[in-house]
Amino acid sequence: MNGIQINNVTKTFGETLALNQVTLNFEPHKIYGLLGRNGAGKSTLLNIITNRLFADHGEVTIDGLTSIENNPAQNRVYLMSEKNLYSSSMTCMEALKWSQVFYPNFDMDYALNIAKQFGLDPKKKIRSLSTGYSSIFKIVIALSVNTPYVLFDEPVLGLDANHRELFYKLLIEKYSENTFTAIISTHLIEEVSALLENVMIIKNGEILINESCETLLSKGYSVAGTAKQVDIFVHDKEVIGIDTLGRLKTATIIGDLDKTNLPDGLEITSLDLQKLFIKLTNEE
Amino acid sequence: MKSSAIYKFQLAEHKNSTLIFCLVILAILACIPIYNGFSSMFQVQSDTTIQVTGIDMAPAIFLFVCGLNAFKDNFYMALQNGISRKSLFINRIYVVLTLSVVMALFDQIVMILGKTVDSLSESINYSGVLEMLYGSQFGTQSGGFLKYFESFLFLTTLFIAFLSLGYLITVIFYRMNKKQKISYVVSFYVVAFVILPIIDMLMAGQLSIILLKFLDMTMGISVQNPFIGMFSLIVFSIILSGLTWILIRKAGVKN
Repeated sequence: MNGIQINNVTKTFGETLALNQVTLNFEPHKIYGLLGRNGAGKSTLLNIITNRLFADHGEVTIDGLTSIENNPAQNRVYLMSEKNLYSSSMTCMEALKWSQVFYPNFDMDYALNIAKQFGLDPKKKIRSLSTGYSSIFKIVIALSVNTPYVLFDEPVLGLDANHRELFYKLLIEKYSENTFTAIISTHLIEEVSALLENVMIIKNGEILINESCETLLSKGYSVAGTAKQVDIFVHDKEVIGIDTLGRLKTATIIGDLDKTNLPDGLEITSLDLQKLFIKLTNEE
Repeated sequence: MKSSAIYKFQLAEHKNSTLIFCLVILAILACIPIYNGFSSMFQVQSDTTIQVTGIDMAPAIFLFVCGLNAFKDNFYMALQNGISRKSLFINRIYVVLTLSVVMALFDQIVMILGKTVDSLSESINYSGVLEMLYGSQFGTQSGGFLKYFESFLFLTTLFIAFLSLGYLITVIFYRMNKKQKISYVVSFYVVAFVILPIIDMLMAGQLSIILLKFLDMTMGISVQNPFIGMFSLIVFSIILSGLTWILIRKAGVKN
């Protein structure tokens, strides 16, 4: 079976239930968004896939191979984690060279090229990098390893808007040239929503949503207009968010849109993923 | 492919410190005849002897420290690059063997140089750890290749044990939380420096005698047989490695 399959995985830390019988499948050649609030279990899930942590129960397979203590399975995955696992006394260049030793398909020319685009000095020691450049250093390796599955855990942590934009551009370019599976765990939902093909929302260690981005966004819509018009329009609908700016009001609604009864002056746009996420993950 | 990469990585982590250590030992050896030359030239301390003893134990201490510093970075690097704990551990054993053999060979060179320095002047007296433990059979160069080989084997097993001990200690510390670390350190010092000396005193020194007898028996010192020592060191290293594997196999990344 192709892809990363997670079957009934449970993980606890002391009395905290981090993952509760999680079952899902990451198919090959897709870009996934793994979304969840802080402590939802996203990083734990990624760490279990990459054999950094052990699940209490359940099984993870990568292209049919068990992920636990299995080099051939782990050769197919690379996790760019929030925590830096490279020796801080190394220079970035040394880390790139070692990555080339560990990953036969590592593209050194490409790595140096994108490092230059980001303005990362490869001669710098890893310990001397700022939070942003530490993320950039890890992005450079993650985009250059050329494994079938690349997992990004908070890839844009500390990055300025320009660098974030560059990362999204490079990711799409890389994906277009040579498709691979990217799993992006991030809090910047608005920014990544355009990249994602599938969305998985995790809440309190359980998978809440596992759908294609298109299907998910077709479940609702946003309506904008004057406050009075919007209030009248939404009174019998499920509203998940309201924004008011001066006299302009925008409401995010879950449900089908009946275009036949649409009053004049109201503007309809597609559902905002971030608003949907907030609605779904807010504690009652 | 990846398995050999973690071997290379672990070995590379020790490269610089090992080279510096070897240079320092050679520099110390070089200083002895120079110091002796100056002493005789200016007739300072002309009636004293320069004693150089157990310099071949220095690599054991050095390798113990290497072991103490060898786990966390290598473990994290292995996990980052998709290497299993099993591969890391197996390759760690290869690294331990490689380092121990290299240092034992270096120690043989040091011993030959030391004996050469010894022969240059009567006021320099050089003796190795084997000579101290197993008598003069290892003190002369008359034993030829076989004695050097015996000495090489003994030092290799000794270094394996020291390296394995350092590695086990650092793995134990990695697996412990802060409270456990503090309890471990405190209880070690209390047992080693308070409880055991008190028991020894109450037993009129019998505990020390038992421990020394055990050491004597396991190292084959009284019977002047280094092969008993080698066997004990190998058994000791296997036990240490077994304990290390038990601790590594379920180790995870710490936040």
